[in-house]
Amino acid sequence: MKINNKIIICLGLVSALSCTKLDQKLQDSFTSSPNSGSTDVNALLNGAYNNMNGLLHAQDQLFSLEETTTDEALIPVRGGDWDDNGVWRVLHEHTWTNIHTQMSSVFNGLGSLESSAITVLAFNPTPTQQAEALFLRSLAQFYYLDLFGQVPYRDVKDYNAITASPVLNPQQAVDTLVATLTKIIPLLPASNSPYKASPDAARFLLMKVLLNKGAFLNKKAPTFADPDMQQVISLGQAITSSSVGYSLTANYFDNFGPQNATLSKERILAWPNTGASSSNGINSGGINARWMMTLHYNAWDKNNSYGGAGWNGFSTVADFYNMFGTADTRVGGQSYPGVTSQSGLKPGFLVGQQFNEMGVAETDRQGNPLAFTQDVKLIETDRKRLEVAGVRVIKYPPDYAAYSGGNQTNQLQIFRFADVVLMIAEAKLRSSAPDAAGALVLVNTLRTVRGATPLASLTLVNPANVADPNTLLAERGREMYWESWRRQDLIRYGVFLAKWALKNADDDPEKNLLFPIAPNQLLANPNLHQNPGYE
Amino acid sequence: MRQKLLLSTIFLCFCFFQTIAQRTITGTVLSKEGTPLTDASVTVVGEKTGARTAADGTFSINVPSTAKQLQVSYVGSETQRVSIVSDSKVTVVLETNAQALENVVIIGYGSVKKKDLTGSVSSIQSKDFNKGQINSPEQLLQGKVPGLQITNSSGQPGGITIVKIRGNNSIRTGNTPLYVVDGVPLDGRSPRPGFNPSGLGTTPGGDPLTFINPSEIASIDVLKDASASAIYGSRGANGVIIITTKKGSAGPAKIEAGASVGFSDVMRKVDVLDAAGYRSALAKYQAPISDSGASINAFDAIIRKAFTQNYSLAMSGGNANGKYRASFFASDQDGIILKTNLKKYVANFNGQYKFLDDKLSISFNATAANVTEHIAPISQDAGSAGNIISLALIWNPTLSLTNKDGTYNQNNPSGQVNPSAFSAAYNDIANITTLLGSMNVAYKITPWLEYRLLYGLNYGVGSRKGEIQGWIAKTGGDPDGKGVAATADNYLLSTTITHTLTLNKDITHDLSLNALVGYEYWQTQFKGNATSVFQFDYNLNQHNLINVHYYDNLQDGLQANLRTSAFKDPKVEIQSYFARAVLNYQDKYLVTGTFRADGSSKFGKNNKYAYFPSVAAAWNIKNEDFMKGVSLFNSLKLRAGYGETGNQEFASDAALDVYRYNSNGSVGAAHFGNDSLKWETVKSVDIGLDFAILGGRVYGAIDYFSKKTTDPIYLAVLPQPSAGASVYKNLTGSYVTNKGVEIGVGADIVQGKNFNWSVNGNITFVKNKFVYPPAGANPLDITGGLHGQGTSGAFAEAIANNQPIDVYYLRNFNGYDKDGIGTYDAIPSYVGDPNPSTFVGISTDISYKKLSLNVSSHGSFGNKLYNNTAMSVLNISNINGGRNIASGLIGNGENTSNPITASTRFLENGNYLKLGSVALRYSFGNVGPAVKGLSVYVSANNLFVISKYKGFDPEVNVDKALNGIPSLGIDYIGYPTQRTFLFGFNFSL
Repeated sequence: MKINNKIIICLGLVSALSCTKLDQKLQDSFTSSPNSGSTDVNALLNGAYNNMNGLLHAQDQLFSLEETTTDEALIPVRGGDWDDNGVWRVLHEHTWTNIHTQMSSVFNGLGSLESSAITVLAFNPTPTQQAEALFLRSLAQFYYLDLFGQVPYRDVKDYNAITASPVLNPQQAVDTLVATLTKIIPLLPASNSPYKASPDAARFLLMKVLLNKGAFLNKKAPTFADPDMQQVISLGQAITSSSVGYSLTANYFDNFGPQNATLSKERILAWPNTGASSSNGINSGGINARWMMTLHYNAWDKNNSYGGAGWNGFSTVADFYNMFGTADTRVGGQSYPGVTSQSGLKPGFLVGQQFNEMGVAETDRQGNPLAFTQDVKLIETDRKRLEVAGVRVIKYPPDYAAYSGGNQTNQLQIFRFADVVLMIAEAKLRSSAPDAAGALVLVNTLRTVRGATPLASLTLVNPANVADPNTLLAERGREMYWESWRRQDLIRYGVFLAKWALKNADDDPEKNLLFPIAPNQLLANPNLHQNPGYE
Repeated sequence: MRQKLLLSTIFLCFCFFQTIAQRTITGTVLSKEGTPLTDASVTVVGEKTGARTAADGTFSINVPSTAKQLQVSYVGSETQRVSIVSDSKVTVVLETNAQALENVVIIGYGSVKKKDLTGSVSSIQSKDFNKGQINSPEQLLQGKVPGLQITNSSGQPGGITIVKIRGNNSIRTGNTPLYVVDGVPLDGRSPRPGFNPSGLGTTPGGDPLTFINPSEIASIDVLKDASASAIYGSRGANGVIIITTKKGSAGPAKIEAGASVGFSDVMRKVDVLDAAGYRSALAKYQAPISDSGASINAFDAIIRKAFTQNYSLAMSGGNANGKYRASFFASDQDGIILKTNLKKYVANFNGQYKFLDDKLSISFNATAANVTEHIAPISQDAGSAGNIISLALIWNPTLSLTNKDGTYNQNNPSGQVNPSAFSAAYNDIANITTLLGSMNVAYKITPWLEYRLLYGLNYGVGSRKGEIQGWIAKTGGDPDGKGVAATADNYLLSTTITHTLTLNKDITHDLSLNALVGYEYWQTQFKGNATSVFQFDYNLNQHNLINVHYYDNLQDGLQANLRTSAFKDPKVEIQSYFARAVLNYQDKYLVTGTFRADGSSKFGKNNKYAYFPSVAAAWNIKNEDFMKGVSLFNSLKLRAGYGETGNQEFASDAALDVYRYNSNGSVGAAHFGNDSLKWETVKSVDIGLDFAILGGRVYGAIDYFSKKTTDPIYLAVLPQPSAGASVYKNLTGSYVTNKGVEIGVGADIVQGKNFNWSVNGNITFVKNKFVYPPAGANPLDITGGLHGQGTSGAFAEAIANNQPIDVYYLRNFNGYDKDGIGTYDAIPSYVGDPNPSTFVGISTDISYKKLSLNVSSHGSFGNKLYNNTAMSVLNISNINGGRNIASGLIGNGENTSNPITASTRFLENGNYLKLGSVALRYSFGNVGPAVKGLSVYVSANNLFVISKYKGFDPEVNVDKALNGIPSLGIDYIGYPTQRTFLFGFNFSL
């Protein structure tokens, strides 16, 4: 008995100590729910905006999917450089398969943007915050629809679910987008800040949805309904007459230079790269990728004696470069304040011998003249041309105050006014009673500001020759090049699968019109289905 | 408070004992073979008096007149008592046999006699450890234990050693076994912070066990199958490694001292062109003439013959009621790469004391260690800018590294960073202080029932300071040419409280029961902070340098470029109840059952407790009557067991919705939680046969094992939209299997008076497979990220259905076309296994009189390695750009403009056999009246490796994890393996 008592005491001791609850407590972060009331919804909304940043800035995200899959851009393999397991080459060649890290990364990035917007909706926002969150949700859904043709979403009450999400088909997605954007236009702040969701930004996005609706619903053979086109025109006119006073910027590159925050009159939605301590809760991005991705390693900067000025990758093809007339200022080649004096660089298309700011001819790493050639191959093998093949494109004149590090002040143009002008022109041409004259006036107005000679006539597209300069598609290329719209445009104009520079006509009449869903995403969400041609 | 308690205990333990001389007993202690036993312990039963035998086995001891018995003990022998009532001169012959040396096996919360063992446990004693320069305890075991695969991931002193027991259980991090040191389970992480300046990439982590003094380890027990490790529940799935440190023994105070000095050089180099070869290659390939006239070897410029010194001192002693041991260890090992170094200072103190007629025993262990690493810029994911290894390998061998005025040549026309200059401009120091302490109180309630309390504490502080001085340019990233510095501190604290009640009773004459119940509470906390800044005002020109490190003067950095961060992980708490029973019937039939319930704060709220049962049985065939006449076998035992163990190595906040404030007034969900998140379970079967034949001179074990990991934890792609891209979840419908056979055999081939020769060998065959049918033929996920020029986003490995974990997923290389451009399959396929199918260890001990030789080797076979270095650092296109190339490329038909492409071309055979350690020792025995057991030795580590692999070392594993999935077998410009020679001596007083 005595022994048993001792045992009981010991067991009692053991059980007395065993009362820990094992609740996990976060210490450098916190857990929250819509009912906890402690979460700053405005900060949550800022967090949602910040999900746009990397997705829209980086050279290997949305930009790559919308541009390097088209006639505007390619990244040739240059000997030891830029094969990267073929990820770039397959984009231009249209030979990608169902595993492509850029595609899955964009898919996930859009999901984060959409989810953070839905989270704001769940946390009892004010009507304005709600409208802003709905705009961000629409932006994510628009790109899902454009790139993948399927729009995963979550009901607000399921904002934090990690289970399979429901998926909108294209018709449902278009309906949701149209209804949501129409609803929020009057609710968004009428001040139309270019850094936040605004009535004009919502109008712009609605124009894109309506203009592309036919392509979203049937990418193989888009059709364009007249009421949609008329609405595109009226939305465009609403933006044109906005109290902000958008106008076409006299110097095209002022839209993109380090001072574009003050010099550009075309910003409807832009990313404010004002520095690390920027206000408005928005982080600075990595806009330097836009010049480093294309410039040669030895591109010069008088303040820095070292190399590494660029990555020597992104280029364009001769067909595209040659669509510009000689007088067109958008092709570049002119000195730009604060840039040419610093490095000799003249924004726009870089062709031929490059010089530094003293006028000294630059060389590549092998000592060859740094003279960019129009001629380029997808795989460059000629040792003498490896580093210089391909025309380079400087859309954003570099901010030499920061260059590769720190905070560059060029703001990323996301929705730009010139696009509104071109969309109105396109809708006029696509109306059931086409207004070719009206469209031509708009296009020639734009061309005149850009220093280009007016066109005599205008057609939508020349399916036999995508590079035909006398088309609205060509004008869209000349104005909007390297602004992440080209793939969508080529699909809407029905020529994405056609033969164009360094790409044969696609074999499959459907496959490449949508990107594949990554196999692991398909496994995670049975409501998604693999897009045609990738099964 | 706790510290005070510990200190007062330490003082209590210094006991002084007196001897009352009334009678002198002399004698000799011999082995069964008649060999005199040196250093055997002789104590007087019931007294505190003790003595030790000399080299000739003799002893002399003064005893009180009342003394009746002497107790004689010797490592590996049965302790024996002899009467001294009638004689004052005794001869004691101690029984030894093959099994006696390891007759007790530590199995977690207790120990069993080896003959009673039912699970698969390998017990390695200090005499069998690998010799030479050992930086972490895992290295003691390399090649010694069947089923245990130990890989030194690089040659960096203090670098990570990867340990896997019986294959790859898990598809994400957490294949590391649980380490238990003197009863205290460790956290397994290191508090060493990272230093990752932008442009350079991530330098590899350090080994979490460097704080342990390898020479103070008495034995290491490896619990391999689940029937043995199930008692550790949700942390036992990858096996358990139990480290037992040396303790004092009864007898007069004893001092053991040792010192060694030596040097290291590089075991193997990577073959690149010399200046002459480079010149002829320029001509052969009509490359731009980048001949700068000099003839140098840049790799030789960054390596050195490195000096090593180790010192150890231990004091121990005690009597029947109290023992203590204190030890001190200091080691200073230079690495072969310039400026790298590992300095280690470790102090251990332990004591075991008995009170209340031996009913109460109190013991304590305390370890304090300070480890300092000087680290070179050897990042594991360097991009096109490379790291110091790649910079040295590709440096143009005709271009001088220095200018005429002695400064570094920073004008390489190819735009590369000078590796010597980089070494000079880079300083990176990690300092880790670790305290490991435990207190053990045991009370015998009855002779067969004991209560035990263990309190353990493990505290680690890691600090890191790094800089890249601004005078070096082109290192990439924001700070390029401006100077950057960073400091960081991490803190890791874990505590353990264990209560156990042990019952040891003969129920009947034939049936005995050994049972255990226990409760354990374990918690760990991890936090840290980091600061970095770039753009400094000084040391921007190599002609004008001052000796003030940026990291000691952070305020000079441009404050707009200041970045600070801090983190504090949620406290992880595990609360456990466990029980074990061992039934022994007639020493023939043994049954062990264990059960553990683990609750963890990491689990989702729907799955707070996990339950892990195991059962095992053994049959001592040798003890059966029908074996009585069979003289061949000295022992023969059949074992079989089944058990379930768990693994819960995932982010501690994974089950919760986590929101975090970020800069600029924004808050976002880092991830949403998984309420159902739970452990992954490894179900394992083991069938084994232990045997000893020919008088115990040949002995061994054969085990078949089959493990199945169910509900594998996976950092899974999330169904979008969601916060973040991935979530920890249990992948339903998926499992991982590891099946194999392991064989360990030892033979005492020659046992003579002067000459002894024994050989030990082990071989393990293991086959690994991941199964997830819904994934079909597509990879479920990819890993093995490749790095370097032209390699962005490339990967080499996959997790795929019906394939081994980390299977290579690459395009087949089909040779060169007529232009010398590589041709490849259009799509990747599963082309090779990075998991070895076979690994082996062979060691031998030869002694002749006082000379002994110990040789240990290990190897692995059947795996492929991916040579990322050959692919993106030493490729042929370099020759056009003024950079060096691998010499093997000359004349292979490849165009110098051939794109860098990830393919099977860089998949190499990973088979190797390495001579891991060799030691030759001469034992002088006792010298003069004071010095005992003097011996001198020379040793060598990593003497050579037999392999066709073209990198530094086929024993390599650079961390190339992608999406939270670890990679395996990828080599990328890591720290080369060091070959270390030591000369040393040991003696005791």
